[in-house]
Parts: sequence; C-alpha cells; structure tokens
Amino acid sequence: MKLVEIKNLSKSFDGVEVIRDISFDVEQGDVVAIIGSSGSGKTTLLRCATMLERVSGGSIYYHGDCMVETINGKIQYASRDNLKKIRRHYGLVFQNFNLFPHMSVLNNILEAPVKAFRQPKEETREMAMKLLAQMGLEDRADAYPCQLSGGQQQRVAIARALAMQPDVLYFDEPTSALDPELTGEVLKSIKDLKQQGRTMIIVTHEMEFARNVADRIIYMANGVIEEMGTPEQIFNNPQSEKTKSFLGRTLY
Amino acid sequence: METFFAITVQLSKGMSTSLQIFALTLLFSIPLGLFVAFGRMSKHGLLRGITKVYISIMRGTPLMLQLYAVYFGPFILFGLPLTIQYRATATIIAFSINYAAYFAEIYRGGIESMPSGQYEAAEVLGLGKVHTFVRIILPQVIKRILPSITNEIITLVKDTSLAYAIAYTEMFTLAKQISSARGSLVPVFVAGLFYYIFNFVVAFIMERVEKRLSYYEIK
Ligand SMILES: Nc1ncnc2c1ncn2[C@@H]1O[C@H](COP(=O)(O)OP(=O)(O)OP(=O)(O)O)[C@@H](O)[C@H]1O
Ligand SMILES: [Mg+2]
Repeated sequence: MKLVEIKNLSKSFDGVEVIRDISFDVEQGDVVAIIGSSGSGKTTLLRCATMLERVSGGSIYYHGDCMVETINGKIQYASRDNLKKIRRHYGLVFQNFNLFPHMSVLNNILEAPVKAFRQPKEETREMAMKLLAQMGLEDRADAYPCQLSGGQQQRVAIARALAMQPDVLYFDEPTSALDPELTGEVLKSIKDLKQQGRTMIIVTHEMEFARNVADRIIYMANGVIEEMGTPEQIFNNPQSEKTKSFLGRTLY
Repeated sequence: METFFAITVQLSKGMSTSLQIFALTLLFSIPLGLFVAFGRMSKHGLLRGITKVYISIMRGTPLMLQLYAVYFGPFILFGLPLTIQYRATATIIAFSINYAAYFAEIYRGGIESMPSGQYEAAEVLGLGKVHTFVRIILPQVIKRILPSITNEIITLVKDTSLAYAIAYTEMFTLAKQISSARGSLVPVFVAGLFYYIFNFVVAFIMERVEKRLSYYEIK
C-alpha cells in the first residue's frame, strides 16, 4: 500500500523554481532519508507535502486520497473537508521544535487530540503518558518547554506529533538546532520509532544516521532528485558525479 | 485633618465618576481594540485603509479635541440637544474609541511579533484558525504586550481628568471647583494624591498579573 505518492512536484517562489519534477513513493513502514546541500529544496519539499506551502505543480496522494492534483497544468486541491481528513495522515517535526511555550509538556500533546478533535480526555492522557515514557520523559509531563533541554523539547515535539496517530511522520532536520551532545538522544528516539515500524521521511545532515536508519536515501541537488536508492547504493556505489562529490565533502 | 476629611468626602462623588470613566473605557476599548487590530491586519485593502486612517486620527489629534467632536458633533450635525446626561456618554465614547486605537496598535505589534512556527505547528496538528488564535497565539500575545498595556492604563487614569473639557464633573473638575470655593489648594492636592494612589493600585495589580504569567518564557 502506498502511503505517500508524490508525482512531478514543483514549487516556485516569485517565478524562481526551487524544486521541480520530484517524484517518489513511500510504502507502509518505509524510512526515507532526504539528504542534500543547503538550499537544495529539502525543506520546501516537506512544506509542500504538509500543505504549509502550496505547490506550483504536480500531485500528492496519501493512502490513495488526492491532496492535490495537476491535470493539464491546472492545480486542483481537494475540498476543505477532504484536506482536513488528509491532514490527519501525517505529522511534522520541525527543526526548532515549535512547542507551545505557555502549555505544559502534557498539554502540548493533548491540545490537538482533546481540545480540537474531542477525543476522550482520560484515554488520550494515558496514550500521551505512554508516548512520553517512550521518549524517556514521563517525569517531565508537567514541565514547561522552557524548563527542558533542546533534546528533550524535540522529543516532546515528536510525542506531540505521534499523539495525532499519523501514518507518516516527517522530520525537517530534527537535530540541527541541538548542541552536538544532545543530538544522540533524539536520533536514538527516531531509531526506536523505526523498530516499531513507523513510516518516516527524514531530512537530515547526519549521514551516519541516515545510513543506519533509512531503507532508502533521496539525494537532492538544485531542486531535483539527483539520485535515489538504498543506503548501500548511495553511500557505497553512487552513480552521479554530484552525489559522489557531495558525499566526498560531507563524509570525509 | 478635619478639613482634609471634609474635602475627601466632598470629592468622593468626583472620584466615583473618574473611576467610572476609567472602568467603562477599559471595558469597551480593550475588546474594541482587538477588532480594530484585525481590521488593520485584514486582507481587504479598504478595511485596512479605513482602520489605518482611524488610528492615525485618534493618535494624531488631542483627546480633548476628540471629546469636543463627540460631544458637540451630534448638535452641530443634526441639531440634537446638548443634555447633561449626554456628557457622560460622550466622555465614554470618546475615551473608548481613542484608547481602542492605541490598544489596537499594541495588539497588532504583539500579534505580528509571533513567530510563524507557532501558526505552522498548530496548522499541521489540524487546529483551526480560531482555535489557533484563541488558544495558541492570544495567550502569548497577552504576555508580550502586558507592559505596554500597563502604560496605557496608567495614562488613562490621568487622562480621565480631561473630561472637564466638556464640563463632565469628574474628580479634577470637582477639585478645582471646591478649591476656588474654599480659596485653598488643598482639594487639588487631595485630587493629585487620589490619582497617585489609583495608579499605585493599578501598577500593583498589573505586576501581579505579569508575575502570574511568568511561569513560562517566550523566546
Ligand atoms: N518563502 C520563500 N520565498 C522565497 N524563496 C524561498 C522561500 N523558501 C525557500 N526559498 C528558497 O528556496 C531554496 C530552497 O530552500 P530550502 O529551505 O527548501 O532548502 P533546504 O534544502 O531545506 O536547505 P537547508 O539545508 O539550508 O535547510 C533556497 O534557495 C531558498 O532561498
Ligand atoms: Mg531546510
């Protein structure tokens, strides 16, 4: 079953094409790592896929449901109601966490499911506590974000995204805003999620991590997918010259 | 000492009038300012233009002049009678629309200073626009703008004395009347003391509110 299907996606800002002709599928349980140098369009791709940005062309499907489709150059988004449903298929973890600073850790997690989607409070609370335990933060449920380290905040952000029970979780450089000694704990949490069979699409500059955790690597350069394959293929036997020089620059 | 009490008793009616102007102005201008701020940030150019002009007039002309305009306007334009009761109403209207303009700019500053990440996090979680504003944005905006709001409120306490311009007998008007009747400056001094104590209480309350909201930090 294809969880995510992206076809010929493109995005321009003020006439400048930033990504173009991006196509790939993600199956249930896949972990995809997106790598590439700064400005290659990785964030833009995630923002289009999560509707934070409107596409300039191409189609996106979740579970076969159309989010946006481009037919004969005409871009057509699904109806409001359908988009609302489709939004529940994915979650996004930001580079700088974006926790709600005025809410406790637990309330950050409960706000959407309980206050917006009217899920039963007690059950959701139990689920939230389980997610926090998974992230090693069960004793910080009543803390406020400003009382946590960056690594802890990012793990809360992951728990918050998971509480919406998305089918696929996007990460945009989840460790880039962290001190080096804190990246490990977040990467470990993401590895644990892979063990549970979560479907994830992760933009990262951590090559070692991408190699270990991903089933598939997408290398982006200048707004296009330059090369895509298993970690073996990309890291040990890259085909494109650009991939080779990028890996040469980042790995050694 | 006795005269001091006698004067205070005499002034007490004026005090309650001043308090009334103060309370009613806040009651109307604080929510009204929010709507003005929305207008000022609206997508519709016309609405944005109208609120912009409104704010610039309110901030660019003396409040006393605005009091005159509200008080004499209906008389000059429609020949409506100038009644004593209308003085109170005119005062509240003039103060409310004036302060709404100032509050609107403070709200706008606070809302525009919110990082876009807060909106985006809410959007991806599926929170609606109203939910996002009321539960995520507004509480943080309130914390950010509280010091500026406190400044406005303290100015308002002192501004209430401007109602004398249309002979609405608040505290200060009364103090001057008693002063000339007694041939003494004590009543005016007592009035000054009253404003000072009033503002002292306002500052104290606002400090408490700020403390209340200090359980978290905004980056
Ligand atoms: N809102 C925007 N308006 C105009 N240009 C934009 C906008 N967002 C991104 N861009 C441009 O699009 C290009 C790709 O940006 P993007 O943030 O997607 O890159 P990235 O691969 O995520 O880079 P990084 O590794 O630095 O995060 C950049 O040249 C950037 O300047
Ligand atoms: Mg980026």
